[in-house]
Amino acid sequence: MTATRPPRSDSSVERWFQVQQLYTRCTSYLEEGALRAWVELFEPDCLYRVVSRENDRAGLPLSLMRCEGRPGLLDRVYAIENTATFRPRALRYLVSGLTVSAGDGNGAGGGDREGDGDGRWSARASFLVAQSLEGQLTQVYAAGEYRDELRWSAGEGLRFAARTAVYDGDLVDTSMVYPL
Amino acid sequence: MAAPHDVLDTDHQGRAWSADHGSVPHWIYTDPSVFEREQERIFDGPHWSYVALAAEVPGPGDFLRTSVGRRSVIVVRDRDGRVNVLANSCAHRGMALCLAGRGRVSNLTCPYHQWVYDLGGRLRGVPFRRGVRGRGGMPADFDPDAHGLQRFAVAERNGVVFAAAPAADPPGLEDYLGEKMLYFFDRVFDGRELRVLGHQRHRIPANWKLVIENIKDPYHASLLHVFLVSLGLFRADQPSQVVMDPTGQHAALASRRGARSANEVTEEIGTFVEGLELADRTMLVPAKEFPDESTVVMHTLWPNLMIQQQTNTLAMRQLVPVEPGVTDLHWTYFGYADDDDEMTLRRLRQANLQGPAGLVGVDDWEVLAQNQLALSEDDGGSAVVRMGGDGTADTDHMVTEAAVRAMHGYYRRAMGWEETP
Repeated sequence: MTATRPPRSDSSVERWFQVQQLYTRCTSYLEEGALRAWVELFEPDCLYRVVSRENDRAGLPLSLMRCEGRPGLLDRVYAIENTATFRPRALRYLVSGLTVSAGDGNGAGGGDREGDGDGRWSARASFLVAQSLEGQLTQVYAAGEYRDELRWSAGEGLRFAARTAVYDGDLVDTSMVYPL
Repeated sequence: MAAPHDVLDTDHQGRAWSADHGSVPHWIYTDPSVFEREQERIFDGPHWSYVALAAEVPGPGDFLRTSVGRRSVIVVRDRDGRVNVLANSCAHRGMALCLAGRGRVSNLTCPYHQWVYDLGGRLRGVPFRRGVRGRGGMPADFDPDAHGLQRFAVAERNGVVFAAAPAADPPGLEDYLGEKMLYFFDRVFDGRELRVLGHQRHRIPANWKLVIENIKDPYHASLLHVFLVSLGLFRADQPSQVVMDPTGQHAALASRRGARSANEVTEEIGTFVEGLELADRTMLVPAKEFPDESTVVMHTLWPNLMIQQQTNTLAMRQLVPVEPGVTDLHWTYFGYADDDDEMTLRRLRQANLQGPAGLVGVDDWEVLAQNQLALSEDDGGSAVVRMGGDGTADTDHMVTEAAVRAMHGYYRRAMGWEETP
């Protein structure tokens, strides 16, 4: 799972490919229900948020889901696996339009020398999540944009430092149980 | 065993509502003709519907679009500083002229024929009213003053805006709420300026009454919401009360955070998890901010508002009935303008418990969907709401459905289905 060397900063293709692999791993874990493996794709002090487009455009700070650090993610996973009551379902995540840029969007990080220190990248992609409740038709559940900050560190490879999933719909269908 | 009770003499289209206390027929949650009657008698009736926080429309021309019952309305502040609530329906052809959910405008213009209304809904401009080059135009007897946007009655208290249908004529807001409910209302809305933190919106496949009853039902809270109980945020053995207004429309469920350990009470809660600890300890760091001891207050104001205080998360839940089996909930989370950054962060962190994705909330939406599902398949039966007995008096505990019974006592009267003596 971890890359043995950092993506070459002078190769945008290789950088993109490594991010694409991380994204693919991410959706696979979510689709399989491997939620603890999903958590390990995040840095220990990450921030994961699901935010409505409405709040995002208005500059309002409220998130729909907000997980601070891996502990926050683990609390969400614990609730899903142990305490929450919900109708069984399957989810399918389609991700496209991935673009990756050097730096964390605030001008920091970006380049790195091979085998040395950590690099930061920011990425965005569009997502579509299809939900199939048991006994019912498959439906489009959510569509939106991922805005991510990624960090490569020696020994751990590429992980999410921050992920924000901005969903377009003004109405969530009933409830949101699983992360976007 | 109680003596047999008479079936309701005045029924609804051949469907009966037993005079048995604590019996609620399932057809009220599924029947389309009941839903239509509710629009007329409740949402268009002498009741106040929450529409907005004044802080959402702070300056002249600020507006938002929302609903009273099923009716789309525009909430807009005019240049005199007054908040108006206008039907989102052009006087010309009825078009919903307000396309955006919120914004700022200098007037309200319908895009179809460019009829222009001022911020009070008065018709100010009709293009080609006097014709073009001597041809066409509106007749001489056309009176713009008779063709304004329908105005709803508006009442505002401490930054909370309510509206009632034009012909509804409800009692004044203070009388409508009553002394007991005003205590809980003014506790949160004490005149301090509010700050909106954000919105959440979802569509629940359940009848609106099931949704509001869920917040009048403390009985389920300590059984369904494992997270709440196991973290000690809410339990059946905590100091608590159910307080209702004399009519039964409104209710407040208030409780105080208590013990976390297992005891004979938690033994009856099959899902209790002893020793549940959050991995992220920062999520639920409480701060006492109200003068009394309650840490949770769920306040329902008939017919469309639930005001929530869960530790430091404050939110309005506005209910919009869409169909007999579909209800939208619009949440507005808020704090106070004088909250410091630490308090704001505290509110945002604790918000994780609530809402469409709430660590606690999810349970409610899912069971509501399942509840409606069964009723829609067969609505011939009745619910039994006898927990806590058959009465509707206030209680000093949460092991009761008194607030649900009280609500239905009022509902039957409001719908014109009086009990036989």
